[in-house]
Amino acid sequence: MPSPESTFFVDTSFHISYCFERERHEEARSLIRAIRNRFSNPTFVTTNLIFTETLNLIQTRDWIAKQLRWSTARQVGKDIITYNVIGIITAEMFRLAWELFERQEQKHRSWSFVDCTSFVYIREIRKKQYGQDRLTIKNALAFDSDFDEAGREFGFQVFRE
Amino acid sequence: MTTRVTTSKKRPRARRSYRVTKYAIIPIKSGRNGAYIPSKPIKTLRPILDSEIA
Repeated sequence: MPSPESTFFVDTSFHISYCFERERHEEARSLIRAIRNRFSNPTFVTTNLIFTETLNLIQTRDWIAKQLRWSTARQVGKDIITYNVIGIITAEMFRLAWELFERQEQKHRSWSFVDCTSFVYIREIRKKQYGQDRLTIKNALAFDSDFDEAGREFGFQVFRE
Repeated sequence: MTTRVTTSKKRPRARRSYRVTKYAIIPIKSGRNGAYIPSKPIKTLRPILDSEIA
């Protein structure tokens, strides 16, 4: 199992920023540089829902020419599969995420459902029941304020330089 | 009645860069000395420029 300090959860916002010049690319690149300086063998983890969300976002962006959307999504998808552990959101995680999503109103916040699945995944995947796929994730790479809000409750922090 | 027999050429299967476990899809460690280090979440060395996709 990789060390918790060198295991990074990667959100859609970061994947998109790292890939595209027009997004917060320089910031994303600089964070990766900092990680590479600090750890010799970092592990990047994302989920099947983040994978889906990222590719869907690319295929629906107005600023990408229609005829290039599929090939761009494919290129990014191939990179994500090659370089990240893609965690699977199980039925139980899905159920817990839905409960969390439904409780948003009483907590006066509006996290997206995919974010809810990510937070539940980070908390649940530490448990013994996940056997060899068990991971302890202490850091997240995200440019989404929901991650800042959720960090304390779900036991991770957004990685900063 | 004649039976038409077609011989299909098997296309070699592309080498996968990942393996599948119960709860994850995991990159296969390969490369020099078998020590592939995924040092960044995306291999793209430079960002995709607006001019390439507009």
